[in-house]
Amino acid sequence: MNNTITIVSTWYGPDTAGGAETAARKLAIALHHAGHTVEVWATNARDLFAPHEPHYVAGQSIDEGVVVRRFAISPPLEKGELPPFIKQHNGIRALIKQIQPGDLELLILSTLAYSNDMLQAIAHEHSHRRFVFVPYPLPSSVWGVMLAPDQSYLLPCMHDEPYAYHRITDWQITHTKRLLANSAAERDLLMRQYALPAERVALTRLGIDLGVTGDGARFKTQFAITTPMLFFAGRKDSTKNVPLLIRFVQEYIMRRGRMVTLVLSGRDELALTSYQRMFVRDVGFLSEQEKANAFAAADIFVHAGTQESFAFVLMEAWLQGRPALVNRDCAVTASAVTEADGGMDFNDFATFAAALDIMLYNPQLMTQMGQNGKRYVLENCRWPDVAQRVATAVLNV
Amino acid sequence: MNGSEHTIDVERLLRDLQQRIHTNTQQNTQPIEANNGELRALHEALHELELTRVISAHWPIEGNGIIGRVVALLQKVTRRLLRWYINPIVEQQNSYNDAVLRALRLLVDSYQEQLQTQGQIPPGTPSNAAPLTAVPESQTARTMQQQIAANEAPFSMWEHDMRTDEAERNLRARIQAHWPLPARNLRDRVARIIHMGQRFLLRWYINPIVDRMNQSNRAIHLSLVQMSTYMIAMRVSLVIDQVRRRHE
Repeated sequence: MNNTITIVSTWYGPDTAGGAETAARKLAIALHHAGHTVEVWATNARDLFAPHEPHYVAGQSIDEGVVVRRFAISPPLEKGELPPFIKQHNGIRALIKQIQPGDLELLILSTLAYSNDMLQAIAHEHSHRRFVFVPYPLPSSVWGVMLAPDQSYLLPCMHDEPYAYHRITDWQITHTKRLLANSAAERDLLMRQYALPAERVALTRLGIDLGVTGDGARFKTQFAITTPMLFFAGRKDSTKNVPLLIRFVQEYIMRRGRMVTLVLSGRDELALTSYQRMFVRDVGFLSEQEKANAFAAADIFVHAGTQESFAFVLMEAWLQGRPALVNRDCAVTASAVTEADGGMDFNDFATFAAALDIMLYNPQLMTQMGQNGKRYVLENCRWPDVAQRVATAVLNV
Repeated sequence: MNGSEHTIDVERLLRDLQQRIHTNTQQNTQPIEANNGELRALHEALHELELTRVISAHWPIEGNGIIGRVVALLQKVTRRLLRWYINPIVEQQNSYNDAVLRALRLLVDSYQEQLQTQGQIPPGTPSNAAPLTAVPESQTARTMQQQIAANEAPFSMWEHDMRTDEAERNLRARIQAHWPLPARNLRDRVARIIHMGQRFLLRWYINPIVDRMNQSNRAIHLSLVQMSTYMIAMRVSLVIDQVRRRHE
């Protein structure tokens, strides 16, 4: 077996959105810059938010110095149907019989994007590669681990969710050679859920671009923000508990008589009522620099979501020296906040309001928490360090 | 955060919050009393709805004299024969009325919450409050958060519940007079043919009633949606407007 690290991500590229996909790309580039031989296998589709159709050119290309091999995206399957290559593979068919996945598990898998050609390539070329599959629930990762368990490493990007309890996931996780955890909380979840020994789960973490400096004053002027500003970046829907966040902010203003503005950014549109527009500003999609400006402008970065495996946005907020207020029910963000001493958490309106009272009334405390967070990011989120940890986990087994 | 070395004067913060709540409660006494009358009226209306919400398809039928008794008997026989048809319609209406009553009770909750909130609007802007500094050293942000949270008035999710129930209320508001008739065996099939015939012959009588029930239910549903939206908007707008004026 040679030392080619092959990152397998269904979606990959400069136009591709998604936390796991962004992590895969940044990791591949960091491994390349660190001098490791790295290749990326992906489909030619754009991302989860686009139709299952070609966006990039199939075949081999170079992205930021990294060799990318793109396979043609396959047409959608019938509900519950297996990919043609898997259907014809006697070994995998026998394995499925042994695992006995529920009908719902196979149904979900059949609805997700995949490439039959990619599965074939994994089967044919696994002997001289070390695959890093990203993330765990996609067909390329599920079938990929089954096709090449001894060469499989997984960047699962897992949180406590229904997929994590599937029988097929249980087999996948317990048969992967080593798992790469984005956070201490994810590592704990993996070890607890699948009864794995510590050496099977490496805490490799993820990195962020540390060279971005935000201009908070510029953002506040640009969007005419004159009150204390709470900022959230990401999907503006119930998966991130944004409606709950809006409700809490509304109630806080009502009860305290203190005006704050909740600024939301992200690609998707949010339907706001006339009264919500009195305290919520949806600034839409922001460029990386504009987003950094927004983080720098924020008095507090707020994140009510519970399903995270890393939370890039939390690290980006800390990088700009701003404190965070996160949901206590999210093990990843809450434990990061505790570990870094970079903010506070809440689990209901009372604790949310109390945290705002404490933080907004004490600018010195906010500054201190923000600086603690920044120190945490600088210590843990350098891509060269992440690349080194991943290379050690994958190559020095 | 537990390890944060920066400490805050909790007592001072709590005292400050309580003072502002106390002062404001006194300032808002009049609106609360004014609203109490409307709240009482609302409770009375709900009590009336509680008494009338169950629609019965079997009211007493009586007749005087021999002819009257014969007519009453025929009406009772007809009603008995039509029980299979009318009762499900009435049950659907009763189910919807249950949902309406629940929605109205949630609105009452919101009203009471509004009164509580009015009593809590602080008179001064926190930006004018003096910065809180140091000590006691053992105090951490987390323990302070717990102390403040313990004094927070209960928070209800009635807005969320109203919206969650909206789709179900809309579904239940649609009454149907022509549902599929079961036919598991020969007897059922014979009964189905008879019932379909009856339904066809009585549609001049039943369908307009059901249409009116649907129009009425639709109006109730829309009123509820508009009422809840208006109440939230009014509540939020009033406070935010007040807070903004203080800033100015």
